[in-house]
Amino acid sequence: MDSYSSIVVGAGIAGIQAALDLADQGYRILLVDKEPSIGGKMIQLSKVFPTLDCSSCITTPKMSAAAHHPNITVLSYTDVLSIQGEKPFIANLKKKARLVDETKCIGCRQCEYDCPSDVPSEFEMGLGARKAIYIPFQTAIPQIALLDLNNCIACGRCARVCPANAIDYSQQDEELTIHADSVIIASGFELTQEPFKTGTWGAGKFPNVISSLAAERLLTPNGPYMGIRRPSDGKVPMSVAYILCAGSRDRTMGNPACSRICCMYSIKQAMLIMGSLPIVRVTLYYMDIRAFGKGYDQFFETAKAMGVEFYNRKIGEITEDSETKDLILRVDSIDGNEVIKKERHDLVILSVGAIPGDKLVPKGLSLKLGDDNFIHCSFPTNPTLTNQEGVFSCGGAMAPKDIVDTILEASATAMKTSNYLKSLKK
Amino acid sequence: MKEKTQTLKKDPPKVGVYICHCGGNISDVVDVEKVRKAVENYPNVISAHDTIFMCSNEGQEIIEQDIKENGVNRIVVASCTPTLHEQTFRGAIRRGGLNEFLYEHANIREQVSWSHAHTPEAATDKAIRYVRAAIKKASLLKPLESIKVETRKHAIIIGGGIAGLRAAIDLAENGIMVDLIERSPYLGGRVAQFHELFPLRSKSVELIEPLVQTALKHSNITLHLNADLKEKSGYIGNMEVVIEKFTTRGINPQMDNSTLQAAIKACPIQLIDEYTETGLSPRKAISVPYPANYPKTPAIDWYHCTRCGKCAEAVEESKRHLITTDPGPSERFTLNTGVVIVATGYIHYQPFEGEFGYRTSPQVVTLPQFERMLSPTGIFNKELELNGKKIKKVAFIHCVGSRQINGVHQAQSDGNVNDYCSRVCCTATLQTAQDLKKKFPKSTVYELYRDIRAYGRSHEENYYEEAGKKGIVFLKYEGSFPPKVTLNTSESVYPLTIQLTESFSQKILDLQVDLIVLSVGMMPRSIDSLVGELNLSVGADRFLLEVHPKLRPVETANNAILLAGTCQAPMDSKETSVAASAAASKAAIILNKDYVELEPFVAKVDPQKCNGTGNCITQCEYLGAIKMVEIEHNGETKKRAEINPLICKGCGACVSVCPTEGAIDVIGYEIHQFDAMVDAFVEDL
Repeated sequence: MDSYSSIVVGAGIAGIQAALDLADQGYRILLVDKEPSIGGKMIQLSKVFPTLDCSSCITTPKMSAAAHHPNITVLSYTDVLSIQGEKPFIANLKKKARLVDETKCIGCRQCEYDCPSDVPSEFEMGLGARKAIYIPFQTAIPQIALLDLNNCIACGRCARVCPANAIDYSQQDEELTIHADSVIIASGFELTQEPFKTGTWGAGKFPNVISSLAAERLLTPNGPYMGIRRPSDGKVPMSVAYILCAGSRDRTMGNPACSRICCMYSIKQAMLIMGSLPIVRVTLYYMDIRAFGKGYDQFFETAKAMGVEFYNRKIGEITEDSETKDLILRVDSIDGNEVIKKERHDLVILSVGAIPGDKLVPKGLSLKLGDDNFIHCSFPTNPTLTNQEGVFSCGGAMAPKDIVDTILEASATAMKTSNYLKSLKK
Repeated sequence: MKEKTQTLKKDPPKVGVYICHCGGNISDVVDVEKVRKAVENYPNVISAHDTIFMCSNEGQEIIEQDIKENGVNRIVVASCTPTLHEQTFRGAIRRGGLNEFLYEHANIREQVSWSHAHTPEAATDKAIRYVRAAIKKASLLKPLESIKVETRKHAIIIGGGIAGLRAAIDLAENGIMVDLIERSPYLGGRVAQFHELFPLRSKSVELIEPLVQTALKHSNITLHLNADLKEKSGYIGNMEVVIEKFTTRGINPQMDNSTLQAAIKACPIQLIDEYTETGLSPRKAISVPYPANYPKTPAIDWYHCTRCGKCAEAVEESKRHLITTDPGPSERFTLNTGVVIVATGYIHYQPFEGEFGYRTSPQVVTLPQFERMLSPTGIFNKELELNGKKIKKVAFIHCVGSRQINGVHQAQSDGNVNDYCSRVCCTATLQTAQDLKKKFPKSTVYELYRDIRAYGRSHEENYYEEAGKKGIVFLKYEGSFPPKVTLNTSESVYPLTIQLTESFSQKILDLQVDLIVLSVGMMPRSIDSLVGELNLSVGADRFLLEVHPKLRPVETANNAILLAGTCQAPMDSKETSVAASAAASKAAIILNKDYVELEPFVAKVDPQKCNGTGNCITQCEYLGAIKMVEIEHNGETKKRAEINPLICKGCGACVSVCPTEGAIDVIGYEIHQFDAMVDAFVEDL
């Protein structure tokens, strides 16, 4: 049975950074992610605040460093079924079948080019398409295809064109068990679907009401439309509205907490839209602008100076002009008691909040959760410790956090884990 | 470094050129394809590629493959600044099996696409010239070996607050020896000043005491109080640091309280930003510790004491021997260390006299003062009364000394305004206002704010929502229209008036209040001598600057120096602990390797050509990097310059002043290589 110093659950920016710090200290790490590529949410972003570096420029080198590190083993498309015991922990993992033999696939994408089945792309937030057999995105790690059986029409073309003979329609999920001396939970947060479930602000009903992560894809240079276009008709938007706190600070949406990241990513997106479209109005409807980090408030001031409009009001309701597919926003006072005016926009972006995923903690661990259902910590000067000895956490799994804070926390958790591992040796 | 690097002496240069689009950052301005076409047939080039993200795994694999399969033996990457990804590409080259120094970088993002965003054609032209120059230089590169030096498994931490203590313990538990240097006579730092801290409502004693006790017991940690860093020399893994330290604490612990109080009263030094238990008067150079401080005995802060002797004069003669008014010269000693972690913390913004009535009215105090006044040992613990008068209405003004606007807010003496958000004051104010309301439910409490930034975990639910439920009145103002405070006449019921333009209603309100609490922001501590000695970078906000907030968030330009906590930016105690542990992790990565690899780009002397003029030594900024030695040559004794590659930084200042051509050069940045680059720049396209 393979054994590791640490199993890191989740290979987003938190997990990758924690793994890198520990591996650089000489520990053997198993980095596991349920998705077919590592990179987490950060790899889906266009540019990141407050430096406006392209997100890929920060993420892909770290992904690559993890993949190439002699002390790190990466297992993508793998579910953690359970983590039992202690000293060492025993982890049961399920390597999901890609229906592609990873030892043979060379990442040439020939199967993808020839596959006739188009499917909305998860990576592009449904705005673009992928094939039934596909590599999740251009900079994915590993560069190995996977076949989505739900959308496969069983034409057999992929197997015929594959130059490496890698397609294996009979491949089965594989269960494996490993030992690890410590566990790091870096499984991150999810974005709330609540407005789309409830249809609030026309989400899910009107094509031109989209989520902020979809907007993020539109803003990426290699994004689905190769530019900012609204989904209903491909028109370049003239007037974009952001609704902040969509699913945060709102008990009616089941989430009273602040999601901490939405103010800044909305301001960043607004700046990017202003920068790439010559004639556009961008309005942010907000409750408080929480630009709290290093350089963030200056970033907010820059956005104001660029002409981004900030309007301290709530949006009560959105209706659609059935002819133009434009949206009419009912602007309410901040306490919601008074209707102030109606405003027309042709694209509405919901700055959706961050919530805990339902599979945050693997079975078998006895981690305490907070009232917010994120992993709880009661050690004020050791904020990455959990209630279970040998189990650590960082990043979005311990409540929403921006990338800067997540990366710091990942290094901090690596330090705690390293010291725990040292104490085991004594 | 891998031993199996290819030897290239016989191989002619075969250059591979890799041009990055940077996801549009470059390709939106520069015609990348045109650049590739303009260089693919350039002399020595055998392979040229362009790709959307050269730094991605996919991009790096192109380089690896070209080396392994196509015989490329010189690499040119044209992308962003090398500070971001030079190491990334060197790694790819190593994996390809080539010496990583056979690589030249052309920065066509910061120096081309970003700086010439509105002239794409000229930018493309410039990019071609940059890439061609890099090809010329790459063709002349020779394989190099990095310089390996042993590491000293030791760290120095400057600052004995929560960040310094946290980092010290983390490293000590990792088996690393630590010396912790604190300038004041106490451990505990800024946290010790407060009674209770959000987000867990921890008492400062509960936060600091366990850290102090762990540090005291740990055999790997040596503490130095009343001590300061004076000099630093050497390089990562191997530094000599001179520490100055006062060993006497100045006050004999046997001294009775009334004598001590008399001595404190007589001390003329008032430490700004330090408060006594009651909250109102400042601490002196002699002080008693806060409950969370260590040691628990009074002491003299020798860095602020002027040795005036007034304290001793104020006490009975029979007790004077209990005070040391002159500690004598400080002790100096040298520590050998591998890294230095700076954890010097912050100071509170000091409002000007008259700013919102501060210091012109006794009824205007700052939040840290008020927090102590409201604490169990403070004057507002039982009664909300000041100078015999009941306090009914209290207003908190947010963003004092934070988010300032040039022209609206008065600049400080150095001409600066604090244009940043101090991050912690919103929740700190919400907590204190709530405590006030809890203790004195009948009081009216206003919060005058710009945005309530209760961003942290549970801050919104436990502090902001809760404040609303407790009946605290929130009034929003715009940054460009800060509230105005006027002092009322003595006949008025309330001593102060706040005039405020309320944002939502746009109405002008006159609030009558008894007490105003200013939520002062955080400022970097002035540590100019340390900044100079350690060669630290300071940001526009005057906090210490990291290399990159995401790629190297606690590292400084000098890779031997790391940052921890609020010396870098405002943060709360929990975030500070995280930052300190992160700095410790980076230190552990450096120190747990047995050696550090230094760049081979240092000066070299050709002893055949050197005439021993010594111009290079006069020009050199790095003490000990060049020295003059005497050598025997044809029976004659001659002077020759000699380089210490461990100290030399390869800046090239020596090269520019050397009168003899070819006598001194910087390895990897040689004159003939630059000549070739210049030729390429001026070629016709």
